[in-house]
Order: sequence, then structure tokens, then C-alpha cells
Amino acid sequence: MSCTETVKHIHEFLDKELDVAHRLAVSNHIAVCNDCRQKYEFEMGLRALIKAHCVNTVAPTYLHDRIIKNLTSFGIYQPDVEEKQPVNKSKTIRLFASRRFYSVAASILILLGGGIFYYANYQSGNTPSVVDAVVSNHVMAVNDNLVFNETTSIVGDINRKRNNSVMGNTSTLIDAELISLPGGVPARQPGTGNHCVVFNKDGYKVSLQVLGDGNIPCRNLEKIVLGNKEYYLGNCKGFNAVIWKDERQAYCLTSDIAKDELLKFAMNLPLR
Amino acid sequence: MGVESKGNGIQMRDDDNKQKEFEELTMPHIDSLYNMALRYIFNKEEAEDLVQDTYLKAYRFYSSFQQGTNIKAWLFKILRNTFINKYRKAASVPGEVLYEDIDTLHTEQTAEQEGVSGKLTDTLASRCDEISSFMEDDIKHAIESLPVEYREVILLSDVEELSYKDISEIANVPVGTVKSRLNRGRKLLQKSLWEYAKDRGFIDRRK
Repeated sequence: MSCTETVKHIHEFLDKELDVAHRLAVSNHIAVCNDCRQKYEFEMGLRALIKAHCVNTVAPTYLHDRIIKNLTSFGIYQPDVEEKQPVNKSKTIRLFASRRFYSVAASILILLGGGIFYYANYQSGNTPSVVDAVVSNHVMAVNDNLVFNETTSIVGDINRKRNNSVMGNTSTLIDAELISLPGGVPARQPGTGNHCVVFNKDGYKVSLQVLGDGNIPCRNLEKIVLGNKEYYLGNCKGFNAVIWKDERQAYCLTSDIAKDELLKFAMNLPLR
Repeated sequence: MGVESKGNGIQMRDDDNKQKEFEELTMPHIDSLYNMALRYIFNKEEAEDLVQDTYLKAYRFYSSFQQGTNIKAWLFKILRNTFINKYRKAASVPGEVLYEDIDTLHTEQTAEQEGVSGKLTDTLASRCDEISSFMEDDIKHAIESLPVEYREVILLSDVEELSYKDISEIANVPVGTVKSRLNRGRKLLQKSLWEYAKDRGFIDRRK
């Protein structure tokens, strides 16, 4: 290899980016040519100098602590909330201009309006009553086996199975077929062997399960009539439950959010 | 609602694990990122904010990081994007395109010009038998006086020892452009080092 060629390749040689043949040629040339070796040593020294100068700088410890603190308060980990490339802003602008955006916004408004209307009705008509022993047992069975039991809870399993995507829109019904119960859960009460679906409502988990043919022990539950539907409310260990039926089956919604909220959520579920 | 912590317990533990994993993977690079941030903006507070924003953004997009690829390069890319978004959007600093032009311009230099800059480097090399005789300040000035496009590739290569391929992904340019920027940048760096040394009288004294 000539001196001109060696000098041309010297940076790539130092960066370890040359293929084997060129690398050997350069190192052979440097070994015999004084001028080129000097140049090589100079370049190497210069790099070392720049590196030494730069690595002197370390991040202050309070910055480290501040970042950790911020990560912690950052809240629930949400994949892909924003557009993938942080540089690309035009997407957002286009979204606001699109028709779809307005139709979605409109449906949300209508949904909210409906909710408030029902909510007002409910508030004026009924006051909560005491939950008796039967109710208590039933809800406990639901809670212990399906929703909030830490060892057998399906909530955790769903998250893992579905890679966190379950915790999305509150109004989307998740395909119950995708969810199966972990083994060894005793089915002590009607409904406990059924699939359940977990929603995220403002950070709280809400579990919906299908109770079967609709023959459920809800006679003693607090009853609320809204429109043409009857809802039964229960509470146990701080968890609220709303139970209702349609023509085919009965549903039970359980969560630790307030009763009113839970009822609103139940009414707005898009069930078939 | 005294039981709510029980209900959210599992999700919280998942988050904790995720955060721990993220911290273990990314926090060792904080010095490198801070260092680079300082070379983008020569202001400590702003560099700190830039690094913090980078970490928060990286955490948010952590799911899009491909396991097994270079996390350091990924973090540097986010740092660079954050820097551009934050500081260069509104500024009237000439953008990427202009430097691209310069790159092409310089690669098409006449033989005569090549000869001149080649001689310059040789002069510097031959006059500085002791490379360590450069002062810290000379180096600092020489690095800072480089246009940002050259500065970043040189630091990514020389200090962080990233591959041309990683650098090309970070800087969002082809590998060929990375090479030409490195060559050009190194020449400029030596030129300014030479000038600082001359101003200081170091080289003259040795004549």
C-alpha cells in the first residue's frame, strides 16, 4: 500500500471500520514507513486527548436523582401513547383537522351528556341502603376469585398476556375469549368460573364478568331502575359491584371506584 | 377507599420492574449523555434539562426500543432529536441541508486545496512531537468551534467509540456522509488546534 492510500484510510483504520485486507495493508505499511507511522501516532494521540478531555465531564449526582424521581412520578407505563418519532409533529396537526377527529369528539360528548343525564336521574331517585349478608358473600366470592385476589387475580395475567394493551379505552369491550382463568381457582359461586374482562378507568381497574344465564341471587341487593333496566348494587371489603341482566345473560361489574361511577360505567358499556 | 392499593398492587409492581429494568439499562450512560448535551448547548442547566428530557422520552418510548440493539446509540438518537426539537426549531441556525452542501463541496475540492490542508496537518504533526503539550483550553476551544454537525460525529466516534453505522442512525445520514464529516471535522479540528497553539505562542517558540 502506498503512503497516499494509507493516509486516506488512516481514520477508518483507527475507527476499526476497515475490512481485514485493508486493515492488514495499513498496519503493514505503518510498521515499515516512518512518516506514516508518525502521522498515525499523532492522530491516535489527538483522539486520546479529545477523549481524555471529554470524559473528565461527569453528570452531577443531583441530576441522576432528579431523573429517577421523575421516572417514578411519571406514573403508569404507557407504550406508544404519542407518535413514534418525537420529531414528527405534523401528524398531530393533521389529526385535529381530520373529520374522524370531530366525529370521535362528538360521540364522546354525546356519551358524556348521556351519562350526566342518567347520573342526575339516579341521584334524585335513590339513596344507598345497607348491604345484607347474602350480598356480602356473593360479592366476596366474585372479588376473591376473579378480580382483586392478589395470588389468583386475572388482572395481572391479562396485562402480561396482552402486553399492556388491555388498559386502553374504557369503552372498548375486550374479547373475552382471549382471557382464560388461571388454574386451581375454586368456583364457589355462580359466575366465578366465567371469563372476565378488565378495563382501565382513570387508573382504576374495573372487572366485568358474565354471570351466566341470568339466574343470580340478587334479590337482596340494592336495586336501581334506570330506563328499562334494573341494576343491583353491592359492596364488600371496599369493593363495589353492579349486577344487571339483559335478555340473554347477567353481568357483574366490580371495582373499588365509587358506586355512582361504577353504575355510570356499567350503563355505558357497549354490550351486544 | 382503603383497599385501592391492593387492587392496583399488581400493576404497580409491573411498573416498578419495568422502571428498574429501564434504569439498569440506561442510567450507566448518563455521563456520556450529559457530556454530549454539554457539547450541543454550552450551558450546564440547559444540558441537565436536555438529559432529563431525554430520559423521560426514552422511558415513554421504551417499548419501541429493540432489545439486543445498542441502547447507547438509541439514547443518543433521542438526545439529538430532543435537542433539535427544543433548540433548533425556531432558531435561524442553518439546518442540515446547508452542511450537506458543504460536505459535497469539500469532497469535490481541487487537488491543490487538498494539498494545502494536507500540508497543514503535516506541519502540525511535525511540530508537535509532544502531543500532550496542547492545553486543555485549546482542546475545549477547538471542539467548541466546530460546526455542530462535525462536532457530534467526532464525539460519537472518538469519545463514545460508536460504529459508523450507529452514528449514521443517530445523525440520520448515510454512512458515507458520516465518513466525510469525520474526515472534514478532524481536519477542521486540527486546524483550529494549530491556530490556538500558535496564538498562545507555543508553536512559534519551538520554531
